[in-house]
Amino acid sequence: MKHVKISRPILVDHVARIEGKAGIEVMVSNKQVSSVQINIFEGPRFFEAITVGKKVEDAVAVYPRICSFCAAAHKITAIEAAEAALGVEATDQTKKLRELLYIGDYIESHALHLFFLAFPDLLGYHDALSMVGDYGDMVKAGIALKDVGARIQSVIGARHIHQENLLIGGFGKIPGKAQMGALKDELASLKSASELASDILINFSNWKELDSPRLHLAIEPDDGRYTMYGSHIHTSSDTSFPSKDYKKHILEHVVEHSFAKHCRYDHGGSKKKGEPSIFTTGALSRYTLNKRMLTNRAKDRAIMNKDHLDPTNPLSNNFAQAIELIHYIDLAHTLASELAETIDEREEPAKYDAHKGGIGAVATEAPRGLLAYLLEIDGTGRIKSADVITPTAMFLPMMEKDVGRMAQSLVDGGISDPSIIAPKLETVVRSYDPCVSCSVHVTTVK
Amino acid sequence: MRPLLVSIGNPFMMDDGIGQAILLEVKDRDVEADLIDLGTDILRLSLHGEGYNDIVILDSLRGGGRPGEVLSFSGEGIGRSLESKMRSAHLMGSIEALEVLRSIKPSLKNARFHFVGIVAGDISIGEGLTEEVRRAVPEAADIVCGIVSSARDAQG
Repeated sequence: MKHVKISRPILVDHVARIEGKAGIEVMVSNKQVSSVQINIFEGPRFFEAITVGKKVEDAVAVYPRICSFCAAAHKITAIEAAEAALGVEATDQTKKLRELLYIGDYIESHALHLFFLAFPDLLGYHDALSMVGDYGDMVKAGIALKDVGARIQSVIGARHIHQENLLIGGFGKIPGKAQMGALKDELASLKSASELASDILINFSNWKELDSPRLHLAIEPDDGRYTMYGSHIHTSSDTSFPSKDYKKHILEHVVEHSFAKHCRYDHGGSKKKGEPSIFTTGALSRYTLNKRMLTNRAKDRAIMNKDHLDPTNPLSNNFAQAIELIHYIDLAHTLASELAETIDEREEPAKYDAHKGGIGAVATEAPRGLLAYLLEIDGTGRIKSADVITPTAMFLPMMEKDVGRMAQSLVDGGISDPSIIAPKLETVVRSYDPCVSCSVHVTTVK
Repeated sequence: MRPLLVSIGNPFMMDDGIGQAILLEVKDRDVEADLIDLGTDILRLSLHGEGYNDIVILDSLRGGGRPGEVLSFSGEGIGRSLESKMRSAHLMGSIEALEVLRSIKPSLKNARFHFVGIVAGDISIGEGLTEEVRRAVPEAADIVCGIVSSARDAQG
């Protein structure tokens, strides 16, 4: 039995306490891939536990620390779960501001992933820094897009990270018309830059070895707009269920080799519909299920490049993110334009009584896929229990399948050198844009 | 121009919160500097680092000494002494990200960079610093205050 251990994607030796516990392991026996284990380090279990007993207002400030790049996603989803539990109804203005903030998260996250993590793989560079000489303008465009995403979050969240301005019921301080006007102008200036990622990706075909039908899950927007909100989750097998019932349909189970739980989709209990199955979620799933709702500019670009948006191939997720960059720059511009005209800086957050208690479950679409929260609040306004399922936990089993497909195809081609196999498997993993140990950052002394 | 002090890290990963702990200690001393916490994404310096002559990065360190040891570097010494490889499929290393920014942002290219860190003891999920690291925070803050004073003196 040959044991191919690939550690580069998660850089095993970088963080002391993760040594030997993070990485990809592919077992090859008699030229057959016998197992693939992606061992990731993900912290939601800890955050679920440490928030028990905290006041709900304090708890919703802690959850965004699960991921620095999905901080707004975690903050908004947790707040909306708390509101569902307490029966709080946000105003239309609050909903618009949250949506724009969430879009800022998308733009920043997609720009980072595509321009600084995926493109070095695809263009054959060691890292983003080594691309600067040959692709300086592209790197500048990536920074400009990332910046506008971060600026949206700073303006609405009133902080550059972990926005404390978002409250249960509304906002502490409402941004002014001038700030919204400035965002509108900046967004308008970036429309052509938002097409750059798809311009680059057009030059790269999907690896056919990865083609395989798969089940997609995504939020079904209620109002016909391609956004992160909706009361139902629908699937590529034509089933649908209320987002608030996610615990009945998205089943988690523990696996020995990973800190993160694995998820499966329960089709609804009917034996005819089969056993719970692995699934994927993220930009490709959203595109596959909701593409008719894209803005015209994004839709036109997608229609011209259908081959790059094959729902059976995980590498298409990169192109789907590129399409979403175009879409969300447009949508953010529309929202900022509206708010620049209509925003009421005096609006107060909705009143609520945290001591009422209750249970609230909400799912939204974070940049890398479905994000689900269930919060139980007791009669003293404190968290009694919390459940968080991240996109990475949902798509992890499918990611392992795809890594296995890629490894098998390389082995079939007579390749057994891990140094050749590793970059290929890294590219597959990165196409999912996984959130593996989003919580630490350490500098190493040479 | 006041220097900019930038903390990097996550306080919910024990000693990964070193940067924020130093920042809070310095804040209590009322130094004449602007302070900002960028979490785990130094690329956000692109929005906040414009116009500064001196930028001090506060971060946790792995290796280079025993846990709790304070190390500082300035200018070219940062690149020579430190590396921060891509740690996951989802984030860039801070030194790499810093170099990307300096290569495309003229204002950051001209700024003087300093790095003050403490060697971490335990980076795993949890709150609070380990004891040896916690004890080293005042020393790290002393170094930061020294850098701020020198920067002010250099400007006359």
